[in-house]
Amino acid sequence: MSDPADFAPERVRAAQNGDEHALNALLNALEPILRGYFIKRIGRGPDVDDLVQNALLRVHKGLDDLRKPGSFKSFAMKGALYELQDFYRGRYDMKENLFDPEKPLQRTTEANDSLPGMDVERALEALSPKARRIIELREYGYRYREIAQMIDTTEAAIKMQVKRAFDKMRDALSSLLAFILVAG
Amino acid sequence: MDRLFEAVLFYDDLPDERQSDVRRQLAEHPDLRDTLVQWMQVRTAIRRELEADVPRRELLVLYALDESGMTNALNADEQAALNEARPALEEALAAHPGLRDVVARIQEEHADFNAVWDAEVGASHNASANNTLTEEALRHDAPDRAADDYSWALRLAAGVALILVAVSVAFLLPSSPDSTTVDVGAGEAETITLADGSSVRLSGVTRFTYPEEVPDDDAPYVVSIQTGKAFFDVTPRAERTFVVETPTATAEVLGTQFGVDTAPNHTDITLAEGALRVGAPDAPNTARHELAPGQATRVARDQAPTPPQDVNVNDALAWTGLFLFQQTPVERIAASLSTAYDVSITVDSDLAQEPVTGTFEREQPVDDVLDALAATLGASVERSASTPTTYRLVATP
Repeated sequence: MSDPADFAPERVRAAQNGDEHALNALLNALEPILRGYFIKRIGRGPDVDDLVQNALLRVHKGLDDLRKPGSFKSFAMKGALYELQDFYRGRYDMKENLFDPEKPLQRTTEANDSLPGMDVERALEALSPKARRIIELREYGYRYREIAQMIDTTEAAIKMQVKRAFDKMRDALSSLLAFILVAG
Repeated sequence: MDRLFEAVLFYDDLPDERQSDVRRQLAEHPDLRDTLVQWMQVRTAIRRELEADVPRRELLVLYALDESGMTNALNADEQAALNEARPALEEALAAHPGLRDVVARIQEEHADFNAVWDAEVGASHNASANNTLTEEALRHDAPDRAADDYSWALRLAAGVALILVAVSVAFLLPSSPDSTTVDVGAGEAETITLADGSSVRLSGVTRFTYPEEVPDDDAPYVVSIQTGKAFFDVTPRAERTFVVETPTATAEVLGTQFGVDTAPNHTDITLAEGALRVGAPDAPNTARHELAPGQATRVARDQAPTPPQDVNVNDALAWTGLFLFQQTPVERIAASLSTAYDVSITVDSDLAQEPVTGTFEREQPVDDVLDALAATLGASVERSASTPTTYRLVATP
């Protein structure tokens, strides 16, 4: 357990004034709090180390601009919350490359690189409000089990909604293709 | 083909070898590949809309803090930035139903930070931490994780890095030479096989400690839950007692499946199968209760366990992430699964009253659960061609 004195304004001020010992003591006291916090939010795993160290770096770099050293807790809290937002945003950047890295499909997933007959706007409009809410949360960066917690349902029910939305789009595309073939 | 569609839809959840397999199959099915690209385009369009409407997520954090009454956590510059952004943010919140959930989650994250801080530092320090402040620098120069996941280490001062290594190593060490402590975070689940062969599934924010070896003598095998939720599947052993301790309760296991939900001031214990004797260590002179399957008790701090009450085990133990059925008629199982998966499941009258005992992971696709159920019954699953979410369990002639 950390000591309240670890975050006393005078220690924060000393760290801001270039006292290496005070800075190390401050970050050392903050580290287990951040670690416990990120474990609580995302569970144990390699991402926790990244989050802790990025949050410490964020605090370290921003410390000089903290005008009220007595408010270090709020300062650290916002750093941790911003870090989680960055984490969610970056979470699927690699995964989204399912179709890209080896370019097996010779196509991107950019919305303006549409296949013939594809109307993204119409597909979006066809989504049910529930499906749209789920896909928005997924694209924001949350995992399906987290989305299930957020909207108070099961992960299986969430996945069923996603599957239904996909099936609906697939059916709509099949109908459209059939129409094009008949009309053509 | 449907299985492949599903695999790609939930590609992120697949193990590496399955991901490779999916990629190989996609290369062989150009029609499927094109449909999936279209699906990805729809999702990408949604992502682009979100990014355009909420270009700076830190403003959404400030909005969430402000909405929860934490206005004093924002300094004047932040308050001004939020005021300027507020009309656009509220427009985005109206346009994207998911953003309301994001705001609620940020507020939950903030509450968790306070809880962890108070646990580590003590609430007494809070009084000095409620002033406004300037954290503009926190929002700037945030590491670009997507492009630069690990380069932070090079920028971090060497002294700080040394401290982190030391703390990380300490964190991974067992809590004592003979026992191990496991922490599980929010939304996570972890199953551990204990030294006596029993298993425990930890759910959500949980801290659990267990001995790495069974005692040499006939002493009981004692595990403890400091906080959180654990579901035990304990193999009965005549020669040794299995005991679960929480801050407020002790459960002496007589060979059983049961859930323990521990909060600081009380413990809820629900028995799915077997037998369990529950006592209160802080009230040693009070009665202990023996639970029967389908019963639950609560042990509040310094008080005796409440008399056993009949409960719906699946509702009471939904947090385990399992469906638990004990001699349950098939029609009741179908009703439970219909609700959980939001699908329609009907059952042949010949099967409706058949009792089934079994455990299913709630994260399994409904198709897999129904296939397993059908195999247990020697039945089959009919899937509606016109309505993919309609199923019927039928007796096999």
